[in-house]
Amino acid sequence: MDMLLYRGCTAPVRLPAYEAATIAVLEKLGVNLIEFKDTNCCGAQYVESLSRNAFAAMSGRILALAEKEGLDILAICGACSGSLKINKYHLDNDPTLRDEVNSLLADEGLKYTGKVRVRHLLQVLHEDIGIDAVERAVVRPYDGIRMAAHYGCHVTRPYEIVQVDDPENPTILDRLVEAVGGVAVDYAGKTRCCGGPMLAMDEGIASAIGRQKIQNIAEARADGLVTACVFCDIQLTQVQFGEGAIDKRIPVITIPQFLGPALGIDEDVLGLELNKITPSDIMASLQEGRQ
Amino acid sequence: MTQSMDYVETPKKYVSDNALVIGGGVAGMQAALDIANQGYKVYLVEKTPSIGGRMAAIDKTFPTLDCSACILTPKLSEVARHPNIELLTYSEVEKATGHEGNFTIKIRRKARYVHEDKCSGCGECAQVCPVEVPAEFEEKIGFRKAIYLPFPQATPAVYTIDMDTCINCKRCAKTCTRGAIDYEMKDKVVQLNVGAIVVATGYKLFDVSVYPRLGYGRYQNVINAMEYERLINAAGPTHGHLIRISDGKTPKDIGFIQCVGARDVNKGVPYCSRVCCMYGVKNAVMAREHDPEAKVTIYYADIRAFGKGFEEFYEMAKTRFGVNFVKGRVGEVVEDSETKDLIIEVEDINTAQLEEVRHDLLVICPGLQPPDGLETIAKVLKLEQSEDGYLDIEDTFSAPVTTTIPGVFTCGCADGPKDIPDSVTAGSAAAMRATIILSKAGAK
Amino acid sequence: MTNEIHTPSSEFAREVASVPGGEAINKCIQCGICTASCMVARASEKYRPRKIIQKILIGKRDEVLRSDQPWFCMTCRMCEENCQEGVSPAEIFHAVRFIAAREGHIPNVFRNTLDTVLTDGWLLKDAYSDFIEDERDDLGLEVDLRFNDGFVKRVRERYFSPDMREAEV
Repeated sequence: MDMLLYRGCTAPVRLPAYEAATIAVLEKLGVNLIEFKDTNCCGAQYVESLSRNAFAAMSGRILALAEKEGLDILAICGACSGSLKINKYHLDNDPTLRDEVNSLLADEGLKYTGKVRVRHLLQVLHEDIGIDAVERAVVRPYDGIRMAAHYGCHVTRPYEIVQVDDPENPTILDRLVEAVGGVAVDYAGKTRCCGGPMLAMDEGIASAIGRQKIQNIAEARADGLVTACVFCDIQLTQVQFGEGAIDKRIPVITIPQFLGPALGIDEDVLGLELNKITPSDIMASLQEGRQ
Repeated sequence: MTQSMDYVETPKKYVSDNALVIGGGVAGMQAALDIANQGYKVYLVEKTPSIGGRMAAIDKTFPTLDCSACILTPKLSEVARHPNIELLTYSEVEKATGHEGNFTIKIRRKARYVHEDKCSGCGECAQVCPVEVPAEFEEKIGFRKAIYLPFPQATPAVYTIDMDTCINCKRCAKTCTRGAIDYEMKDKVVQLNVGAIVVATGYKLFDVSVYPRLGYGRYQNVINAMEYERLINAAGPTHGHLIRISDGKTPKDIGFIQCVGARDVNKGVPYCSRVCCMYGVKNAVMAREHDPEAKVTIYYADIRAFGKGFEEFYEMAKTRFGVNFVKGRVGEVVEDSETKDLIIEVEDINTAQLEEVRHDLLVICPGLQPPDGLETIAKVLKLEQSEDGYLDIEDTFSAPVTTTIPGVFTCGCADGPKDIPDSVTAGSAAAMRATIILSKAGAK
Repeated sequence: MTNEIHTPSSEFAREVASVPGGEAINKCIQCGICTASCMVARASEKYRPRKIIQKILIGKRDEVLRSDQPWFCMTCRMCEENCQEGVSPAEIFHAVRFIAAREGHIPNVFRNTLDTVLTDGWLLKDAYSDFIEDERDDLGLEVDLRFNDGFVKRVRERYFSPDMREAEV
């Protein structure tokens, strides 16, 4: 299966390991990611807040480009996934908006008709690949490492549009953790926001929100935190440094980086040494390889 | 829309002057008594082993704080003794054909494995039964044996064996001096001829485990209103001592959460459930009654105190009983993993203060729902249901107890949430409508 | 906060209801569950989503549009998930932002970031250092990110006036 990998603005610069790990893990599981050239920012948060038309145009262009290639889009960032899906929904249901955006796209010979789908990484892992298939591909399972899952608001909400997992009781990441030999840990406030979007307006509030989440995860005695969104990963890492942070840092690791070693992918390919809080304790839980 | 059940335009012939009442709760019993007291024969069908319905399990009623069982049990006796009422408990309506004045009904009498005419309700069998399982009547907090009476005043006072949990040790049969136990018993299907039918199938509580944010089902000290009723009931599993499920301690700071599973467009229940505000207030008052030292708080969006004496009851809850009312819907419940206390997040909108409040017991007051099995009854009787799953009625103003099928009437919660007085009133109304038809059976 | 007497009016609520996202505002019964679900409200004394909606409902147009409060929403949608009446404060605040932006009330961070995106085509062109290029190279990733910066010029032209207010299309 081929898909276009939409990186977004932040992943390639601030979390390239997530990008690399996604490519490696999906390739192992039978999904070939094709580089998506000539894209632009999806318009999340900033364009989104200032003009509905501009927001639809920014995301609409990405959707139209994918349509031209005839391939579905894989988004690894929650905000990008949310933006693309929400705009697709509006473009599909509002002909006036669609005509407006298409008139702008026409200059490049692009047109949005709604043919391609937008998938978030969790959807691809859960629906297209299947958790059973992930489990079958395991060569070095973990030995019961306790992992807390943070899904991300834009990944799971609003459910009617994004359709990834039950937003009130999501389980995909937890099941993936278990599939590779980890123990999924429940914690208070699991579906709450990480605070990332708040960095724009008030860093203090953003940090307080992020630290609360880390506090809850620490109370549940998790050994690590697994994420499925660029912003969430960066934010939940960042709040563990600096003032107000808890003593023992909890390693934050993106889901493909967590799955990778269990599937036999080399740690260098997954960029694990780039993680600001070393996941070495998590990796130490990997058992000996099996044939 | 007059349509007979077999969709054939037969001339209305009033053949039978018997009535069928489906459901042995307070509404069904009222309907049965009112019809029977006019001289007609009534078949009262109840799917559980005993009549009595919800009222048998509730502790006190609002707004009078009467003991529910005390009001109910005289009716249970009256029904049981009535020469014109035939009780068909542990039975279900399987098929129905015909039309107003002449219905043919097939009832499946499920095997109790105990002969009704031989059992005296002495209870010796249950004493020797080695199997103990969570009791449905006690909301799974208390226990019953595999051979059981659902509650002490069960009517008829006949034991039933739950074959799913029975281990076939046969100790009960050996102990029974009347030879009432029969493991070979089979379901029996009986056919009845009736002229009118009253549906009084009651309700069930909304399952609030679909609100993960409130922790019901995950946190032990978050319970629902029916579980609370059993805990405060002197005949309940803790003999009326309100305790926390996690450690058996007496709670000192109790929170009641209203509007859960009602007035919620996200969960498919946009309608108001009518009774929860009042039963919530009643529950809170009872908590203060049980322990005047306990702090009791109700979290609500509105307090709908619409009936006679309701507003006064609400005022009394505040002033005389000292219940604390906070206007604000609860957002989230988090458990303190060590103490198993609950911490809720709520905005008190009167002060605009966002608060984190610690409680040691939380009682969620769910909205009412159509009961399990109503869908089946509706199919069997070809009744229309409204979008919310309750029975549709012919006309809100001129025929509020008449269903969409002539000759079939509804009372109690079958057509929507109601409190006890309204259920009883509807029972009498349905009985009246039914007997109008039954009275025609003589005149052909 | 002045002590002026405010004359309630449903004009502003109607205006918000006419902007995409604001449609459900009149369904709000002021129950407070949104505030109780809000992480920003928990972390900040002054942010109360229910209060903002209350101000809209009683017509405090000026106060709401000039305030930075509607820009504090993270769009996490917990309020939307929990609201039993089908109101989405997150969506309402977006509608309010559109109205506010049209009248020139835009927090600087939004204005500046928008400017960057509409110039470069993406957010982090300046942050993409050689060091990061090397990191990508080591990971076997494409170094030339190839973001398109032409389209955003047309977006800017079409949808925004020079001071970043949304222009009438």
